[in-house]
Amino acid sequence: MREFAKPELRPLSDAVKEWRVYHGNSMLRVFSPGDIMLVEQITAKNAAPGDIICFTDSNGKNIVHRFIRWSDDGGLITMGDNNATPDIGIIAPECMVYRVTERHTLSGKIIPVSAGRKGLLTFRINRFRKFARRLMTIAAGILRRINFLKIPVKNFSHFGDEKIFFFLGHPVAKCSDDKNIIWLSPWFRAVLKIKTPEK
Amino acid sequence: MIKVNPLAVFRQEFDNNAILFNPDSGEIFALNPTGRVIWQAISEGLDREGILKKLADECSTPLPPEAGRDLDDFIASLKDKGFLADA
Repeated sequence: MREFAKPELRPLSDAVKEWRVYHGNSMLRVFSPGDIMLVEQITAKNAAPGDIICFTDSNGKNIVHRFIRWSDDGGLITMGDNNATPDIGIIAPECMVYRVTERHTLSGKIIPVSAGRKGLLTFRINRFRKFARRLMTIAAGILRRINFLKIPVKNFSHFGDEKIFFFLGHPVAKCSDDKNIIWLSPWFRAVLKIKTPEK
Repeated sequence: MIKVNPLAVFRQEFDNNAILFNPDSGEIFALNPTGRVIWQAISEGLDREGILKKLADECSTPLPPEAGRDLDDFIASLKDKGFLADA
């Protein structure tokens, strides 16, 4: 800063008001907290399913969700990609909303945002990924409890005070002198077993 | 002692200016370089004297006599817009 200028807090012009900053959890993996979203103002009826839109709900809170389908009376039904159910309220077709067109990350990258059919495909992929993650968590929990199906691990080496167990050449667990086994991944714990050395 | 609104978003631009966004009100403001330095100093927890010292360090010219008054006015406007609060 070369010289002191009177500090000022200047409202940005209408052109630059077309920015929004993302915060929250409902659209994580599409946006990260702090990302700046470039938006364009449109009438709700001009949006297409798959578009990500910013709007204000009945409580005055700013929401950024994806428009997923039309309601029976022509309104917009929205839903966060990470939410379990669509939003309760329906956006009337004559409302003004903001469609997100670009994403500016904190590191300075500019990423175009999928809209329309491509946006709907992204939405379905995100939902499937969430479902798959949930299935894998349940499967890992079940496998962890079924001991007789697990593969025994017998190879180990001593490193100082610790014993490191290997399976197919990869370290999978370690055991210190107090005989507590620490697994390097929950999946290793789910499918492998180590016979605790007898005292 | 003043504290920063934890929800406020600060983003420094490439030309030493900055943008402040208040998600509660949805308002966006531009800060000039002086305002940017003041905001960063407040975020670091500096008091009024510490902020003036930091401004003096950042400027290549001595601070004018009205710098203290301008700083107080600026902090008052930040409080008014919801970016700061008294601790």
